[in-house]
Amino acid sequence: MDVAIVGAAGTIGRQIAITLLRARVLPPTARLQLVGRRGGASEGLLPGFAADLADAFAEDLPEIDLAWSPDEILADLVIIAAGATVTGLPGAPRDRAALAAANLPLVEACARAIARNGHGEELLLVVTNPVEAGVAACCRHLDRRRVIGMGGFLDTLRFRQEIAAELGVRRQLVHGLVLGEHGPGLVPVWSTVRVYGFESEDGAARIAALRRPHDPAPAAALAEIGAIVAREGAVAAYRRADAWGAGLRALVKPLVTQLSGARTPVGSAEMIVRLVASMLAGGQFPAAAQVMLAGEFLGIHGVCGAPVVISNRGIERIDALDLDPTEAEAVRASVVRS
Amino acid sequence: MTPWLCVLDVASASRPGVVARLTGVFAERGISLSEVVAVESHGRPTVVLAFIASAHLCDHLARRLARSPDVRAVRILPAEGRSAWELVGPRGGPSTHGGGWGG
Repeated sequence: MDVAIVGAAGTIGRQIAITLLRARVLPPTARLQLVGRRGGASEGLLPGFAADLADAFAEDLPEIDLAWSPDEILADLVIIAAGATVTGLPGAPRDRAALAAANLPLVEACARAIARNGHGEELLLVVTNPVEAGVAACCRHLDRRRVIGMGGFLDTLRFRQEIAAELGVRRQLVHGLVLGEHGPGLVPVWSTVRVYGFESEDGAARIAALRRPHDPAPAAALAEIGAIVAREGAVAAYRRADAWGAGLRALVKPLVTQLSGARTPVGSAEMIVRLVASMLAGGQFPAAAQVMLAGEFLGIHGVCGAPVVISNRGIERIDALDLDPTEAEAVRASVVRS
Repeated sequence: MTPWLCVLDVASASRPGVVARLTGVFAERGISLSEVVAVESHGRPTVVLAFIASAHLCDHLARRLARSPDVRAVRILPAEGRSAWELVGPRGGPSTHGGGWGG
């Protein structure tokens, strides 16, 4: 399979390329297309980045191809990681509406070009935020089963990490999903949480104790955490977040990381490459992802983080989870929000 | 589904693995090659591949191969009953070193 990374000169895109090559996911006969923008900063950076990749990974390097516009995208799997992010820096978008205005034209241009020029079986992984709007834009041009928004996947792994850290176990022992919006409307689905070794009554009680019903609402927590970062710095913000439950921490800690200037390239790239590796190996991967629903999950029509099974053909199926009624309502409400 | 002939003007005959990389593009998409001819044709290293695919996939392959650093030019033509050899001549056309390359 050939892979293209749109936004390959950006912080996340570069890290995805490095992680893909380090994981040796692509055979030397495959092609990795790095897509930048003619006239942008990437025009100078990408050729140098490609040379650096060749220095680092020459033993197994796939063919590296540089491209400069959506019309040149040519791959079986396209990872869209281009666009602005919320950095807190002057001039950067400050909310979802501003992000959408900045990023959607490019995302949609990619989908339109792939629909026009592709072989019809391309898979799109949308990393660019707001991911729900990005998925919707792509689905206007491509089969919805082939468009996968990565927000729910990342949120889910972060949620599991927060649970694992609090229980003192490794993340791979924790199962559980985050559905709904990739943003303030995210829904940590506690009814899906299972932890290996915590099947007993006592274990279940310890898991139940991780829920913090009196945590602030996500939007209020985000505002508070943003203010703490600005006023006191990231360490104080992480300390404040640690007083909250795992579900809320999975939302606010990435924002602290983002606003601190570290961004989230390493974690995001690692999670994305794990999914890509599984897809390329022909496996089926249960996950949470933003997908365009047509009533298959909770009767929702529209883009929503949903429980899906992903393969190299895209969305194999939507899992019909039996959610707690409160969680189901929260997921439905998150669709209205976005 | 139509039979096609893909004529590739190859950048260099002296790079190992050229044919493997080019045929791999077809294999990755589940396309079986019925003929593979690698010759020097009109003084240029040339690979001709015969295969069956939809016109849409054929167009994609042409775009994909055109981006390969191994390829200088791509032509994909309906086979119309011709074999790969017919496009390059019985011994690969004018040659500077005996008709074949890479072997």
